[in-house]
Amino acid sequence: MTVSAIETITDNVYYILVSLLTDKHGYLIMQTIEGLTDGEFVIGPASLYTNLKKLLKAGLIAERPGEKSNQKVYSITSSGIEALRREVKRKEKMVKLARQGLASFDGGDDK
Amino acid sequence: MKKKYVLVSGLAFGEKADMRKLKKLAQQGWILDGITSFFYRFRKGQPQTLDYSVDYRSDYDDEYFTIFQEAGWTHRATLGEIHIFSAPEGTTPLYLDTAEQSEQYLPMIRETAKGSAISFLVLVILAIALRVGGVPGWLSHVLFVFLVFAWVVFVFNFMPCIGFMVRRLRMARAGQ
Repeated sequence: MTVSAIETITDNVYYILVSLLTDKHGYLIMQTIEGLTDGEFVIGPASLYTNLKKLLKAGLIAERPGEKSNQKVYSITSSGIEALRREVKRKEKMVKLARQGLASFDGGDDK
Repeated sequence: MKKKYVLVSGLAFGEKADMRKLKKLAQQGWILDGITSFFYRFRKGQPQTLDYSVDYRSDYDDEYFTIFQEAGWTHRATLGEIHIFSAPEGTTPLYLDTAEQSEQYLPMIRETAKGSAISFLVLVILAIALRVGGVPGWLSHVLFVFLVFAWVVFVFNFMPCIGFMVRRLRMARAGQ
């Protein structure tokens, strides 16, 4: 029920969930995503805040007070991990399809 | 402290133009300090190159400003759901995803649509009352004043509503 509140895992949501496999505060999530993707994917603070609220509501992440006042620390929940696993499987299928197609396109000389 | 006031040209239609104006004033040392329905307020400071950006949000907490601050965006002014931030040039923008950015206009559209509907209803009722007649002279004057007032409220809700709707559609399309 709660998981269905997030209909699609957008790129923003995907990277937030991945970065929260270890607990982090807001700005560190932005920095981590930028670092993980070598700066290829960047999330703005407004997008980050919107998506954190959505994920909290859907129960995919949880929050607790951070060291500094006004700062919260976020962590992925078990339903968050479940959703991420499902999404990874979906993406793997997508990649596999394209890979097979590309391999026959290239005359089977893939790899 | 020296203050300066500049007319708001209407964020629904002139958001980009207004943000450019704020940037120009910051280069002259006038830093945004507040906003009312009709005026931006500035205080005199050091001339600096700042980018300004608007975020529309009705549901937020302290953490909202914390995340923006850490990401380099200083909160400058708030009017209802309208929040204006500034940052040094080159700071990561508030949104990079235009489809997602278009979502932020939803509460503004809802609010202005509600204002338009209510003021329009009042407008119609007053117009009918004045048309039908049987209203004593003094009362019709009072009703007329209310009618003008309702008209002003209607225009100031309906126009922004259209503006935000157009902006949302354009952004959603650009994001596809």
